[in-house]
Amino acid sequence: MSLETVKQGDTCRVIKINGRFDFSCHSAFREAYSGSPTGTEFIVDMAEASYMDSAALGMLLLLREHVQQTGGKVTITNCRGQTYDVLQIANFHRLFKIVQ
Amino acid sequence: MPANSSHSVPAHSGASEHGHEQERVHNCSDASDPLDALFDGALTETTTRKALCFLRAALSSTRVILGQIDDYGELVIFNEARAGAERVLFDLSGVGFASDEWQGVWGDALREARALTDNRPHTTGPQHLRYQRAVAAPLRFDGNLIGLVLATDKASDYDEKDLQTIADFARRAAPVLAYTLTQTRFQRQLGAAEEMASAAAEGERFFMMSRDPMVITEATVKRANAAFTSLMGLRPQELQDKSLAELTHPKDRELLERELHMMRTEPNREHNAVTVDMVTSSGELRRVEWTGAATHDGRVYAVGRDITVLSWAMEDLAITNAELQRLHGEAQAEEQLAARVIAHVRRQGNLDSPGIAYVTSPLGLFSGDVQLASYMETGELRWVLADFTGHGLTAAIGTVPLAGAFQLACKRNVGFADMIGIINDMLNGVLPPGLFCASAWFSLSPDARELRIWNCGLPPVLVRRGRTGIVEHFDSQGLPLGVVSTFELGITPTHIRVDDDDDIFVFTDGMTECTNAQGQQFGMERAKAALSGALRPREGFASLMQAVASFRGEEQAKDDLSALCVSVGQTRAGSHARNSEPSQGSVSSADSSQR
Repeated sequence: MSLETVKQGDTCRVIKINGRFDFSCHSAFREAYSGSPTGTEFIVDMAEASYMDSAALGMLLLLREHVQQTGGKVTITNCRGQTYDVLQIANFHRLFKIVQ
Repeated sequence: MPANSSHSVPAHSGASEHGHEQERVHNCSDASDPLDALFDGALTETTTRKALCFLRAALSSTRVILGQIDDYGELVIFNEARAGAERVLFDLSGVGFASDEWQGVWGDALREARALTDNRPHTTGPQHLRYQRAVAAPLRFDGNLIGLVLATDKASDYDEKDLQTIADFARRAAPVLAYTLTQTRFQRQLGAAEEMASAAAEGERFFMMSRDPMVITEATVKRANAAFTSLMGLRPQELQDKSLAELTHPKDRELLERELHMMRTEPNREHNAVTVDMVTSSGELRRVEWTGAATHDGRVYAVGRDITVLSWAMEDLAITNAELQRLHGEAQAEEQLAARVIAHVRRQGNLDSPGIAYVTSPLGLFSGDVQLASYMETGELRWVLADFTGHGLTAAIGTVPLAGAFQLACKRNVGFADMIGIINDMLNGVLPPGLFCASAWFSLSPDARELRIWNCGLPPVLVRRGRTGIVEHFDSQGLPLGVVSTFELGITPTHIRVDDDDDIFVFTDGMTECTNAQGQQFGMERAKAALSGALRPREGFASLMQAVASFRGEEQAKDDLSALCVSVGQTRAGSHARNSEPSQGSVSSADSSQR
């Protein structure tokens, strides 16, 4: 796995997931959102993600908690195949804006 | 230099004619003896050649050979033999003859230490030294045989005069050759001495430069390098009359002396390093590892290595290691205790009653998967399969309150949706953010005709209709538990009609995501296919497990795999219902479960 964070202006961060989105991403993912200014909008780009597991769901929940505290929002984009199924089974569309 | 030679040497000195005598006298008056000029100082290549040219002419010989006796007693030929000034007949320079190879007249001359002539042909020995007539004279100096001069192949016999001439030559040449040899030997020795001195100076430089302590010791320390004196905090003169043992901590003295003794008694053997504490002038201890070697006169050359800091680190490491081992043991004991508690909690209820089949394959001691079943007073059967995120203890810890709350709710007749809600709120409070519980909850009515399902985060629940063989799926309807409040969750279970021949399957993603050697996932379609064959009721579970096992082959499981199957007709309620009324079949389809 690898993870890349792109800042778009002061209020938007794109977190790009490459390969397997699992526990190995844990600290990199946390770093990607920690210290973000109030009201930051996060886009988790799953275009290059080949797989995600429940640990990844947990990380998304942590991001959600962070956003709830700092006032912002999270959008998960480019979900397809296995990653979409996992989000679907967990009904995460009720917690996040998920774009296929 | 032929011009020079012909100038100073008479062309035919062998013939005793007056004219020539006068010429020689004339030459002698010019330089009292022509050999004086030639044997001026040491023999060089040029003077040797000139001298031999002179002799060849004087003896009317074809070749003249000069040799020296070297340090090994061999006759070593100096020059190549020449015919005339330039033409090389053969090259003997550097060829040596050991005394048992001394042959012919020259061999006799050397052995008898006098000049000899032999006018017979000599035909044995090395090709180069065969001759027709020869005259030879040994070169002697200070009573020692130092060389040989040999002239051969004169057209007529060598006579007494020739013998005298060569003897004279030998007598004159001997001191010059001796001087030359001594000088050469001296130069060689000087070179060797210089080499030794420079090696000694280099050794000394290494000795003083080394950061490792070095000591030369007999009974007392003879020399020590700067590293040693600074290690000990002593000036070099303070080391005088002290033995190495005196500078060692009393507890290690015996050890050190034993090693030194062994080095002295077995100087040729390699000795092991010995580690001792040295006591510095300020009373500090320094741990030094010594290696050494002794010479035959009992002098020991010892090289030390200050491993004080290293030994501290090693001790610290040993302590840390022991502490780690202890903690590891404690953790293991605690883990085993926790595992027993968790296993006990899970065993409560009616999971092992008829009609319920299940598998669980926890990867470690702890599993985040839990399956529970319980009959309520009313006869209602409830069961759940839950999968907590994460692995190991982190995942397993949540299963304990979940199992407790489930059993309590069943015992207290708490309504189905309320029970899930209560457990959700409890988990929401207990679990840290990021951890949650994907689960599927079931309630089979006392008459075994109505099934309620709440799938929150597990792969689709499968219901195999025994009568038709059709497999229906009931997808996840809600968020996993422990993520949001029950108010937000909105638990609205799906109701379906079931029949005695129906089997209800639920499994974790450990099953759908298990992979084969090619990295493919088992997936839902394979699960459905395994169940939709021409199976009799209640054979489905075995068929499903068989399909997983043969798909997976030799691949190791990466996740916990749990699966549970309830065969409606086999349950208490089902077997009771079978006796009272015939079943009505299903009234709900897969689509209706999608809400």
